[in-house]
Amino acid sequence: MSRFLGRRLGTAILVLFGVSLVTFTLARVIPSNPAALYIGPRARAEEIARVTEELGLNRPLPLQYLDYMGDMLTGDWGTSIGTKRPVLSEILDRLPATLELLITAMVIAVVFGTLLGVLSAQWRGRPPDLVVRLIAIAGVSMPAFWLGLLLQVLFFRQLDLLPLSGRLDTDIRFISPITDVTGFFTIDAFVTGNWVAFGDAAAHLVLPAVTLAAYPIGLIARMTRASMLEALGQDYVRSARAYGIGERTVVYRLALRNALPPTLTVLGLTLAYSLTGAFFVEIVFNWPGLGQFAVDALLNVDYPAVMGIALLGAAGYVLINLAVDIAQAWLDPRVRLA
Amino acid sequence: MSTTTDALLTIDDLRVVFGGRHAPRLTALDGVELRLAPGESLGLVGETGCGKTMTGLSVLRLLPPGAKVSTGSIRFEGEDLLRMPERRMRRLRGSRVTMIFQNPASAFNPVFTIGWQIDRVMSQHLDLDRRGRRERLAEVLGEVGLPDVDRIAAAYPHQLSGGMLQRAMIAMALVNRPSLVIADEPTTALDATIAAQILALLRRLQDEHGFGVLFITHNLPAVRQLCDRVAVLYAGRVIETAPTAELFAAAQHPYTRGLLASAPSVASRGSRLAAIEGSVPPDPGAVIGCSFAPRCPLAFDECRRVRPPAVPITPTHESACLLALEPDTARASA
Ligand SMILES: Nc1ncnc2c1ncn2[C@@H]1O[C@H](COP(=O)(O)OP(=O)(O)OP(=O)(O)O)[C@@H](O)[C@H]1O
Ligand SMILES: [Mg+2]
Repeated sequence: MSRFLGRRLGTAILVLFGVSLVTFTLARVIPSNPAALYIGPRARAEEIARVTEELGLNRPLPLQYLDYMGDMLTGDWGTSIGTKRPVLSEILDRLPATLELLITAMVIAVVFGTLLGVLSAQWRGRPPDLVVRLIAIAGVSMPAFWLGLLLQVLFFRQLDLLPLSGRLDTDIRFISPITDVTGFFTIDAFVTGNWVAFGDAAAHLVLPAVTLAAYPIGLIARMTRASMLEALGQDYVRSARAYGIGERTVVYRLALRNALPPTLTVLGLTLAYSLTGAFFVEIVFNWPGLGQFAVDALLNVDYPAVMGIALLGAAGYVLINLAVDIAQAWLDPRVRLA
Repeated sequence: MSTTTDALLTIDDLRVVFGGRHAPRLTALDGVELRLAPGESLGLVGETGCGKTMTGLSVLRLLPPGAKVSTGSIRFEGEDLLRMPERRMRRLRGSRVTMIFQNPASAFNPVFTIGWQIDRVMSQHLDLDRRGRRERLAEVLGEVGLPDVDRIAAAYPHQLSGGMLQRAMIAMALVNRPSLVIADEPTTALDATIAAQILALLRRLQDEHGFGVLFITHNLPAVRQLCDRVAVLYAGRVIETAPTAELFAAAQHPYTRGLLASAPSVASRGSRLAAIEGSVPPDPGAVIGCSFAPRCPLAFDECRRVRPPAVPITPTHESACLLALEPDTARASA
């Protein structure tokens, strides 16, 4: 297990190193004049010279890279051209909102995707299976913004059950403000016993989270169906039945435990997609996360901000896949005890 | 008391068919008849595909999807298993009737420990607390020759050898003190010395505990070592049954004689019956006369017209062959 862990950790560090090389190249090497870019349009020559000196842009590239890495590691991610504030604090301000949305969506996707996949495998070829497969196809093929609008029309306009957009009603700020603990409104409201705010935050979370979960639900359901079908056909399932073990235990404990690793793999892969998906969903639901910031940064060629977000995304992706690998190994004694 | 009520297991005219509505219909079991007395060990032998596994699975009512029993009855300890509600059937499986499978490496779940899996079988059927189950586990592992209880119980299947796993499987089969153990080729996946040890173990445990065994195999020497009686299955029918010694010494059915002649003296695996020309009919249900007639060196016209009934040769020896009926006249008319 420790050798396995060491190897995976090594890979993760290598990947992060590679990503930093790419972002560095994008930030410092490809732009013909990074200093001009940094200052913005209509830069004067002496200003460019000053900034070039300041940023060390006239030094050899390897040294520039070391500087860049040093800055990144010490939390100096540059200053956003758009907001003129440090990129890192801009990101950290918005990160909790995005994470709250992303994590909720993933929990929904794992729970429902797995459940649907299991049902589908259990009822193979019969109506429940067909329904699940339809849901899976719809989830995978429906564009997030369209599904988001659809849900808004249905649950806000028609049924008036859930709020249209945002993260919290404005009144909450005055009636029952949330004490900041983790930055996740639902959790903060919950742990401080602020039920009014909790209900409101949760209600705001439902539609964007479901919208974001649709795609991974489809993928996970399909993957789980396939791996459950395989598991249910194994000898050990037949032995369990031959020993009178109840069908629920056979399916949800004995077979599912063996079917989970492929599902986890899919989860890891789909997270990268969901990260960018989250940005679109945030815009549709006016969710105050990284989405709007990222889009603004892209449209305004705000290089430091774009690089920061890219680095964050890459780091998140690497960490998630590392976590998935560890979970896999933990689930499978053949790997864990190797 | 008649022998029928005495019997542990009685299978009568059991027919199992595959397919039907959509897939082509195929008869896997074509009227199987078997009797097993309490504590008796019955060998069920025959070529690949003759229906041995289907017979075993029918008893547990665990036929694969697509297969179903079309007629017949299976009585176990006086109860009709084919009419038993599923809930009661499930209580029977793993407690009164248990099964040992061919490949111990795949019969255990790879992600749970051996101890957990055996414990799960106990807690499903026994009303014992955790400590009681722990003691029973230690006891049964000791009986099957795995005295290092803590290590075995904590091991995952991939950490044990095939022989140890099959011992653990036997422990799982015996832990709830069954009265019938169905062993479907329990030694085929093991190498010869280990296989012999497993057979000796089964024999000893059977003597000690007195459970009945339905021993499914195509390994004739193993049958000789383990079984009191043998039933020979051909194309979904029992064509001859006799006490082990008598069958090996004085087989009547031409198929049995071919089988005995073709079996090498050392343990054979998957014998293809080189000595008997031809092959098993693809759908035994479609054959009108004796299903062995096309391959039988002694077959005569009558054999292709009539299905031979089981004929008693001695009170304990039966053969489904027209030659057993009237050996002399039959041979004369051939
Ligand atoms: N899934 C299936 N679909 C259709 N027919 C099947 C299926 N499984 C088995 N059969 C049929 O049932 C017959 C009996 O099969 P069974 O598995 O009982 O044979 P066996 O005697 O156990 O053979 P082996 O020695 O190879 O284990 C076979 O001839 C085969 O034609
Ligand atoms: Mg078989």
